[in-house]
Amino acid sequence: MVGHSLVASQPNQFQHILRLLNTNVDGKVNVMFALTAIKGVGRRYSNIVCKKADVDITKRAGELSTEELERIVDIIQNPLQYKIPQWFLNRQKDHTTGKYSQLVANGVDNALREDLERLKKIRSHRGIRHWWGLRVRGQHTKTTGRRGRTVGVSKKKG
Amino acid sequence: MPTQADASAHKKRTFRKFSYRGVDLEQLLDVSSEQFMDMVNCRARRKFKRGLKRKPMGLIKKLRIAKQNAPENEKPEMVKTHLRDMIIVPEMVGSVVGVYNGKTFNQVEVRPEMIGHMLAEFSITYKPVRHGRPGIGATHSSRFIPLK
Repeated sequence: MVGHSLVASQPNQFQHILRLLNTNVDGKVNVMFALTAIKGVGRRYSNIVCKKADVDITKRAGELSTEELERIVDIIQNPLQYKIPQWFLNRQKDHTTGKYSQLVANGVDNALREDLERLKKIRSHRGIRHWWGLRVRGQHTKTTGRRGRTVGVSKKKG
Repeated sequence: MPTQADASAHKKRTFRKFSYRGVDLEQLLDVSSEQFMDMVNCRARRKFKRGLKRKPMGLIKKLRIAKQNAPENEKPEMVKTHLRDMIIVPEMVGSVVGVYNGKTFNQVEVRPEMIGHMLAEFSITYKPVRHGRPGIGATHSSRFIPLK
């Protein structure tokens, strides 16, 4: 029941919408789930970040103090320094830099675009499939994936 | 485990320096097979682990010879191969390989960005489909249109 009572929090302003890492984070929601609004941060990652930050998990996101928020942002961006294991991260052994990191927010979109660009530049088969808008992973395309592509027959008269 | 050489943080390797997993081309050429296995992805690693009797010996030898014979600043002559399952190793960079796709040898100039991929990825085996007009019988609705 502790999580529900807003009355018990300190008189510092309760923020209804926070802004973290270039995304809007909902303040009314529990911390762990509020952080998932950031791209690249899912429930599991959010959980471990909160734990490393010594933030009370039962709190709502709006109740956190600014220094706690700063700590959280710091941990999200430098996970290895705060002893989050490598296998937890979403960008492991990066193809060009070899680093282990957790991509968040804009980084996720950028990395995706760069990966696709790389494949296309190399003219690898995967890149070409992406270019054409077809399935890349070897699926059968005869009958599935129709939403984008329509097939039709016209009634020919004789 | 992930200690690659110093992580050259340049991700754009077209005009800037190229790096594979944080290692530059010059360093890659000196790397031993075991270290290369660590860097590469798991499919490639598996292939090296299993087939170190090295069936592709012939191909690599020919590539070396072609590179030596090539006049400076020109591409070496094409080395043809059916070995589509050959993983591109730093040693091969700069060679021109003709990869068989069942019918013809597709010319592929190996660039440093291609390291870790298979030769087959660059030689497409099918002619991409350009659909013509669907004929009678293509859909359920058009099956019983009389012929005349």
